[in-house]
Amino acid sequence: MPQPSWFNRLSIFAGLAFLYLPIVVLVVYSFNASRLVTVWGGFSTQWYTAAISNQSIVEGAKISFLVAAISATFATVLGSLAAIVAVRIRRFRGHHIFNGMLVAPMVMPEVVMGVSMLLMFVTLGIDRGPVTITLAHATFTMCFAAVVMQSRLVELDPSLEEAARDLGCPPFMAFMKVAVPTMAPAFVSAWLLSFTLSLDDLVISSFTTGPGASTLPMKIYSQIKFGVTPEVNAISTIILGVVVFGLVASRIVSRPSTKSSLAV
Amino acid sequence: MQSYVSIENLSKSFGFFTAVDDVSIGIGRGEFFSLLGPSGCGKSTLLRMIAGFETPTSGAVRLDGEEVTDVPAHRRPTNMMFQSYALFPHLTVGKNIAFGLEQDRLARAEIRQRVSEVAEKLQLTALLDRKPQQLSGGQRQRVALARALVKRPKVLLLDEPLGALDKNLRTETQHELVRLQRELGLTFIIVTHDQHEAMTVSSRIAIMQQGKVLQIGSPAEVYETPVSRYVAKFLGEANVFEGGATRRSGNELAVESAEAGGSVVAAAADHVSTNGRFWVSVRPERVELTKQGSGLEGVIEQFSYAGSGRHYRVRLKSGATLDALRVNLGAEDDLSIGDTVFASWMPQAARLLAD
Repeated sequence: MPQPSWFNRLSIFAGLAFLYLPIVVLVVYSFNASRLVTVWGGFSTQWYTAAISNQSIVEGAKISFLVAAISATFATVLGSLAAIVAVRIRRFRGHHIFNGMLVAPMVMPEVVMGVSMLLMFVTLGIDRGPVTITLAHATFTMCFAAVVMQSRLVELDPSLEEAARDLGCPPFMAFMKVAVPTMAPAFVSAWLLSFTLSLDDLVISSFTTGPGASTLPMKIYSQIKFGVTPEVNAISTIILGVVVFGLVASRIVSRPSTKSSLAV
Repeated sequence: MQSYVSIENLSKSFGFFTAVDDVSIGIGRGEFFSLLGPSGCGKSTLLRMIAGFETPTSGAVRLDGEEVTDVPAHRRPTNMMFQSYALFPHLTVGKNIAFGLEQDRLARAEIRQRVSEVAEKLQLTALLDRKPQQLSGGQRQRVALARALVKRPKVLLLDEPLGALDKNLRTETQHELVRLQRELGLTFIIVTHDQHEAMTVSSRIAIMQQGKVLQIGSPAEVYETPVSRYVAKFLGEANVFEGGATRRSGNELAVESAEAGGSVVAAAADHVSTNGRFWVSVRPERVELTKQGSGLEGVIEQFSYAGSGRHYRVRLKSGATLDALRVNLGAEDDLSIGDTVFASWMPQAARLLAD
């Protein structure tokens, strides 16, 4: 392997710094003893204590986690169904449009989605609160879940289910007994991804929320309006930790089973 | 004869493409039957229709006298061994083998007994607690076979079952399959594109091309008396020369062939008329090359040593090529590239083809 040149090293360093320096600063200053955000006053975990004893923050966190868990579950179920249609039935009338519409929300401006969902809830006369946030999150995370499921479903050997049928299993049971267990890691992966996306969403939550239902990102955002406090740094670090854990877990789980070469 | 598996005028179209075209085959009980053909000839589709995975466009499938054309796969008394083996990755070897018996809701004790029986037969007893990912290719192949056999199917269907194995293991497994089939007395239908494999294992072979069956017969029949140039060339090597028949003397027919640059002989039954276009097909191992004498004159252009035999490619005076194979009996080789040789063969070694 050729050694990277000094230019390569520099550009990698600069690129990583550009991406991650702000996050490093955030994490470091969350352990700052000083009340001033930009002045280092020694190591302390007092802001973590302050954050988790802040009633409003804890309330926001509860809503966020609940919304994320429920919406991720919906998104995984719906996304899986969509993926099954896209992969298994494949050549139906309008399958191109279906596939396009499935992934379009990934690139659609969040503001547009937020406004449209708000309009829909108002039109239907649904009171806005945690329920509407959950519905909205399920909608926009569903397409991510569908993409994860789709990529795994494509790899699934169709003869697995045929083998189950051949051995006496009716088609639906063959799917449940063979395809679903084989796909289990993909379900977990899709759920974790949806959960993470929901947890840190601000824009769509803001549009679809109602009185008394503020998610954690919304709480943080409103606190920032009065200046950045080390407490915010601490909460952000906790969220960062949860998100990183979610993403890493999702990647590990979804990694295709390594073909063992141990057998002879 | 009443066939055990009877395929009657079976056709299958996918849109405008006809994968299987009006195929009729009768397979006897306890046969080891091969569907042989190049990829895309419809052999796998035919097998999948017997298994119940594809619905025929027209025609019927009968098993042991019962029509099963519309019976879904999970209620057919057939079991299939898949090309990819299709082992369930989340289940152990033991659970994989037991899967089919559990579907039949057999008693636990019986399931355990039958699994251990088949595991013993296929040397899998030590592997029952492993997951498929922890097995070698050959072991996986045996698990797939065990899983299909344990249900005691009326017919075992094998879709290119040895495609993923290396050559030595393949040959060994072919013999193993034949032994198992005899021992169990089951009817096997195997799909393969490997003519050598088909000849080794089968009692009879159906040669397919573009959805149609060209010829059905024992390995010796299809090799010795192919019905067409395609079959002759698909099963082993064949030198084929086009010509028109001229003289008949007894059972021999002399065919005047511009392609071969002379007259070539072939055995011909009485009913063969002495006019029209014919093709004479000769297997390379039946061609005799001599330095002096009579026959088709040519020059040795290529030579290859294949261990069990020596291959010569002769450029005939007419411009056509002729392949000859001398079985290696340990004799000194007296021919080399550039030599002028005369090729001849016994009349009964050549086959007269009308197509």
